[in-house]
Order: sequence, then C-alpha cells, then structure tokens
Amino acid sequence: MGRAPASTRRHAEIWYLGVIALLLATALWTGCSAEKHYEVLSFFFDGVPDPNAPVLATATGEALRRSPTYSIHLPFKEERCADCHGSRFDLGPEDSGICLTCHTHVTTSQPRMHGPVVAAACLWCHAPHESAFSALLKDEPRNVCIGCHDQGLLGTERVPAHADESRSCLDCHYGHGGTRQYFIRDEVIKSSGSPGEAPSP
Amino acid sequence: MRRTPALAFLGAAAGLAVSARGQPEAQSGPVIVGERKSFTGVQLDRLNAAINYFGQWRLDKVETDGQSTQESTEQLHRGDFELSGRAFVGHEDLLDLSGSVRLGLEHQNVESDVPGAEQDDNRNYYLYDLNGRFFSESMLPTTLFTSRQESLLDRAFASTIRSTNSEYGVLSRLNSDVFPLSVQYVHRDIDQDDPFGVADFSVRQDTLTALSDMQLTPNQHLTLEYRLDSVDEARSGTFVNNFDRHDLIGTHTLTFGDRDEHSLRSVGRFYDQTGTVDQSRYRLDEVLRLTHSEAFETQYDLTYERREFELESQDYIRAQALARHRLYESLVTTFSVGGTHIDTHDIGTSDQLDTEAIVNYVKRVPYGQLDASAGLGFVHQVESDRGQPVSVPDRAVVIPDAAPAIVPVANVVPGTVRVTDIAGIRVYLEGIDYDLQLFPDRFEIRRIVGGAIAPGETALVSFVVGPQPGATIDSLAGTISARYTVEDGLLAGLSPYFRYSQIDRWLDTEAPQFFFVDDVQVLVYGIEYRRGPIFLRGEQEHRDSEFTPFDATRLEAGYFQRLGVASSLTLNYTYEIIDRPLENDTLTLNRAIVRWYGRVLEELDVGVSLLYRDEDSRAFGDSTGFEQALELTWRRGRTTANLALRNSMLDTDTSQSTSQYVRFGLTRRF
Repeated sequence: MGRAPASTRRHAEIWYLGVIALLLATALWTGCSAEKHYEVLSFFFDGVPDPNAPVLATATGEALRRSPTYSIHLPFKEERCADCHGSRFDLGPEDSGICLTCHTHVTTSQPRMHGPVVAAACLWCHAPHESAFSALLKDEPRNVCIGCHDQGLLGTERVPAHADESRSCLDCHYGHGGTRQYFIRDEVIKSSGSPGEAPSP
Repeated sequence: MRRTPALAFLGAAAGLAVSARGQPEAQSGPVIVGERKSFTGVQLDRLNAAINYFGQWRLDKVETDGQSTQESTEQLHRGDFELSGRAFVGHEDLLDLSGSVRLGLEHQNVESDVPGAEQDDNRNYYLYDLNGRFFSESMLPTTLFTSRQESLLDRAFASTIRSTNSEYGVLSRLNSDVFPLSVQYVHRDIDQDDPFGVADFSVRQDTLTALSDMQLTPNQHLTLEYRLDSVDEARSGTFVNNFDRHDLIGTHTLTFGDRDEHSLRSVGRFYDQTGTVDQSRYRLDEVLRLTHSEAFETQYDLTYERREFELESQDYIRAQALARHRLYESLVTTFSVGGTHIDTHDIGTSDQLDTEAIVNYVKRVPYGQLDASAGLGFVHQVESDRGQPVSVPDRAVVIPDAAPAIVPVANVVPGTVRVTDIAGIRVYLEGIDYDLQLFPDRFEIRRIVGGAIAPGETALVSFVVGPQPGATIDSLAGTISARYTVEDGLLAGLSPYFRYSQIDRWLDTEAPQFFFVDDVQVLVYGIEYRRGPIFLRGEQEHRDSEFTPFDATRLEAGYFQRLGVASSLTLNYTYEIIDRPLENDTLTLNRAIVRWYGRVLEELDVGVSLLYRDEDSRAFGDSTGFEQALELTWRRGRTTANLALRNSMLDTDTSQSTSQYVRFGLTRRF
C-alpha cells in the first residue's frame, strides 16, 4: 500500500494538534484546583470570581440576593430613586448627607456617638441599595470595623474576646453610639454583672 | 336658561379672574376659588426696555466661466425699540403673559445683477415672541404662542442667507392620572433668501401632535403618538413639494417575571402620505426579551409591514431570534438567525435567510486594555423574476464631506432618486445640494460645497429599481478587529487598531448579465494618540473590490484647550487622499480649522476663526475655500456692542465666489 500524499499527512497533523490542544484545554478547565483554574481563566478574562475572596463581599446580582443575611434599602426596593437621587445619579460617598433627609436624628441619637455617624459618613460602613449583609453593611461586621480599627490596637489582653476572629464586634458594641464608653451593649453589662446605665439602641 | 359650553367656559374663566383678585404679589400655587376678595386686574411682574441698532454691509460676487459676473451688495440699517416683560392677569396661575416685541425702522439698499433683486426701501419692521399660559396649575394648562424672528445664517464658503421664521400655535396638556395627554398645533412659515436666489427655500407647515403616556398597571406602559403634517415647500423658485401626512404610533410595553426581568414590546404604526409622493404603511413590531440569567438573554423579533406606493404595494415580514451570552466581564457572544419575506404584489417576491455570530472581547492587559471582535455571517437570498420596477423608500445614507456616498444598488431607474433630510421634510436638489452619478452596479451621491447638505449628514434616499430576472445569491461575510489602548506609562494615550472584513458572494441565475455580484475585502489599520488636549490619528484603508476599489490615507491632528472663563482654543487639521483606480482619479482633501475665543478684558470677548478647505480631484474637479471671521463683543453696564467681520471665498474649476460682510450691533437696555 502506497504512502499517503504529503498534503494529506499535513492535514492529519493539523487535526492531531487540534485534538491535543482541545484535550489540554479541557483538562485545564476541569482537572486543576480552584486556584489554578482562577489563574488560567483570569489570564484570558476579566471579572473571574476569586475563590479566595470573601464571597459575599464581592457578590452581585443573584448571588448577593441569595445571601441569608441579605438586606435591601426600602426606597431602592420600591424604586423610589428620586427620593435620594433627585435628578442626578452620580452620588458619591461624600453625599451621605442625603441619608439624613429620612434618618433625621441618627447623628444625635445617643449621648456618646460614633465619629463617622456624627459626620454623616454613612457610606463608609453601609451600602446605599442592597447588601449581602444585615443592616446594609458593606461586609461582615468585623471586617467593616477593622477597616478603621486596627486589630493590633484592640487590647486583646484586657479583652480576650477581641482575639476571637469568629465573633462580631456588634455582639458587644453598638455601631452608631450608646450611653456607655465604647458603646457597650446593655446585655453585655447585665451578663457581666457590671453596674448598668440607661438602655441603648 | 341653557348655557352653551363656550359661554360656560368664559363664565368660569371670568369667575376665576374675579375670584383671584387681591392675591399677594408673586403668589404661587393653585387658583383658589372663593377665597380671594379683591381683584388686582393686570399685575406687572417685570418690564424691560431696550433700544437696538444693527448695521450690515455685505458684498457677494460670483464669477462663472462663460457667463457674466453676478454681484450683489447690500447696506442695511435697522433701529428698533424693544419691550420685554412678564405680567399676570388676575393671578399668575390664571394667565401668565411673557414675551418681547421689537418695533423699528429699516433701510435696505440692494444693488444686484440678479434681475428683480434690486431694492432701495425704507420700511417698518416688527419682531415678536409672545407666550400666554392659562391655568398653569390646573388639570388643563394651556399655552398660546406666536413669534416672528429673523436671523442671518452663515454658510461655510458661501453667501449668508437671511431667514425669517413666523409661527403661532397652542399647546395644551391634560394632567390626568388615567389619560395624560399633550396636544399641540403649530403653524410655521420659514423663508430663506439667498442673494443670488440659488438657495432660496420656503416652507409653510401646519403640524398637529398629540401624545399620551400612560402607566396602565405597574408592569404595563402604553404610549400613543399622533402627528399630522401639512407641508408646502418650494426651492429656488422652481421645485415645489406639497404633501400631507398622518403618522400614528402606539407602543405597549409589558414587563413580567419575578423581578420584571422579561419584557414584551408591541409597536403599531400607521403612516399615510399624500401629495407629490404618495405612500402609506401599516407596521406591527413585536419584541420579546427574556433574561434567563445575568449572563444569558434571548430576544425574538417579529415584524409585519404593508407598504403601498404609487407603483406597487408590498408585504414585508421579518422574524429573528437572537441569543446573547456574557462570560465574566470580557466576552460577549451574540448569535442570531432570521428570515425575511417581501412580496411585491403582482410583481415578484424576495426571500432571505440570514444568520450571524459575533464575539466581542475586552481584557485588561499590561499597560492598558485590549478590545477585539470577530463576526461571521451568512445570507441566502432568493429573488423571483420581476417584470416591473419596485420602489425602495427612505434608505439612510451618510454623505461624507468630499468622497461620494456609494449606494450599492444595481439597475436604478434614472430620475427616480430622491434625497431628503432625515426627517423626510426638506427635499435636497440635484445640482444645488448634491451631484448624482448612476452606474450599472450602483449610484453615488456627492454633496456640493455651499449646498444644504452638511458634511457627514445622514440623509434619506428613495429610488426605484428596474425589472430584474430571478436569481439566488449567497453571501458569506467575515470580520475581525482589534484595538490596543495604552493607558499607563510613557506611551499612555497611544492606540493602534485594525479592522478586516471580507464578503464573498455566489450568484445562481439564468441571466448573469443583469447582476453585479462583487466580492469585497476591506482592511483598515491605523494608530491614534490622545493625551490632554492633543489628538493625532493616522489611518490607512485598502478596499479591494471588482467595482469600487480604493485606497485611502487619512491623517488628523487636533488640539483643544480651555484657556479660562469663556476662552478656548481649537486647532484641527485633516488630510485625506483617496485613490480610485477604476475612475483613474485621486481625490485629495485638506481641511484646517482654527478657532480662538478669549475674554481678553472683563468687558471684552474676542472670537477669531479661520477655515480652509482644499480639494483636488480629476473626476470631481478642484475647489479651494478659505474663510476668516472676527467677532468682538463689548459689554459695559447695560450697554452691549458687537462687531463682526467675515471674508469667505470659494474657487472651483468653473466659478469663483466671494462673500464679505461687516456687521455692527448696539444694544442699550433700561
């Protein structure tokens, strides 16, 4: 039997190379670790979800709404956009003063107030429309707090609970302000037996 | 006694006027019947007066080879007294009057070689703009308006046109939650006078519009729009175009799904035109959009249209399905498949099946961003034998500055090409606004400098295609493009790009001599640089085609800088050379623009502009245009003075024209 013509052999080689490339691509797609998978996909595409990123903090759309702690701002839900935006849609963090239109007394609600609240810097901690976290927080409460409050300065010897990264700051502290120093929650005072002050929100 | 509705209306208006008396000054809010005790009559809110002087000296000259030179000079002096203000009758929400009136004397002296154009007149003239708004806070606010304005329109490299616009009308709005409705009627007269009568233009137009925008339910929206136009148009004393047209459009939108993510839009349209050109159309569009996920959506379109022209009537049916998928933030893939059936009654049919796939890719890469796209499309077209001509209406065509706009339609019947503005009202004239060349495989439209078509304007072109034997044509089109935009580093602002497209066609017919099936390859590549006020671009285009091949080189340099309050500098230069081997022609176009506006003193603004355009072409001829203008505006207190000078010239192979003017204006307000 005669040898196949050179052009036929060349076509066959191209097909073999194509099949091998396809198999390699399939193996790469399905067989690697999540990190490797992310690394390869990110080389070709923007916006690939990072497996090591906090999932909920970067979630958008349907993923965000599936969160068990999902929260939504009522005017946003009811599509009353003009309540906050008026005729402009380029509001930035410096425009948090608009929040005070409805949340009138939030900056002076307690004897001791959290600085950003007094400054009406609501969008430092809260998302304006919807969030995967309760109370429209931008992240897990602890992550929101350590955005400003360096963990190294929390005094873990005096308060061992500060070293427990599984706990939320809001377990013991109020976020906006309170009647006691450090905005300590009433229930924490009661359970520890310390003398109480007026109830806080 | 039984009162007529008109008497009842007048009685109610009088009652409101009487009851609104005695309101505090500038009181706003609804008219409250029965609460007010005293009557204020007419309440003057604002009254301003001014005296104006305007003077112009103008010289226009046209020398045409083989003909006598035409020259026109004008001296114009105008002085007028202007009153403007605002007043309320009874209450500002009952009748709010505002406007201005100018009454004056004008002396005009025109010496012209154009027969009948000479004038030496003194006349009274009047300009006005008056508005009366009734019941502004009621359910039915209504505005009556009338105006008469004059303006001088400067045309690039051509003489100035005097334009007089007069209009009157009524606008009323029914503020109803159930059936909100706006109705407007306007009568408009526009007269434009060219010193040589070439670009004279007049329109008498009556327009009635009605618009209702209703939210039927939270997820259903209905818009109804009706427009009636009655237009009498004349150009240069010879061309006349009269027509009436009715246009009714109804749009219903329904959103559905858990989050209203799906929608169904239905649009019905009835259009009927009678006059110089008769046509009517009935059209129904259905568009269903389904959002299956954030990354995947589909769309289904169905269109039916009945078209009736003077020569024939057509049924047009098109269906299309489209799917779009987004992969992360980088890749958007679109796939569509569709079919079209056109049945020209008793003449023939045209059927088409088409499919297309397009991939768009965006990726952040080192130092910048990469944009790329690729597409592949296939069209299978079956044309039946056609023994009679058919009409093709309103095809949108972009008309470039110098190069001709190519319409690749073969066998167009001479004398049937009609070009209008995008609204379909103003008809452009061959020989004045554009030149037309018919070829067996196509026709070309080229704008005339100084005509009514602006460079790069989109116009509507209608024409009739002659009889044609049956054929099957298959087309395969592929395109690929990429652009790399550098955003960081020393080369930030640089952006090289390329675009390649290829169309291959196959013809199956018993009479191939009637068809001009062309395979076309187009390669465009270039580089841009944008940084701060600077813009640079170099581009090369190579078009390989059996019938319309060309090579084009384009260079552009621009600079725009704001220099402070009311001050800016614009520099722009473009160079274009188009080599058309089949026509044995090389078209070269140079354009340069310099504009500087500056507030040199707190009271003095200065504007300077230079415009240069040079075109060389063996096929179309040579032309050179150059224009210089200077404008000074001085303000002090309530006095404003302005001075404008302009010199413009245009030389072509067959004529030389020049246009100069000096204008001076003075306004003193009180």
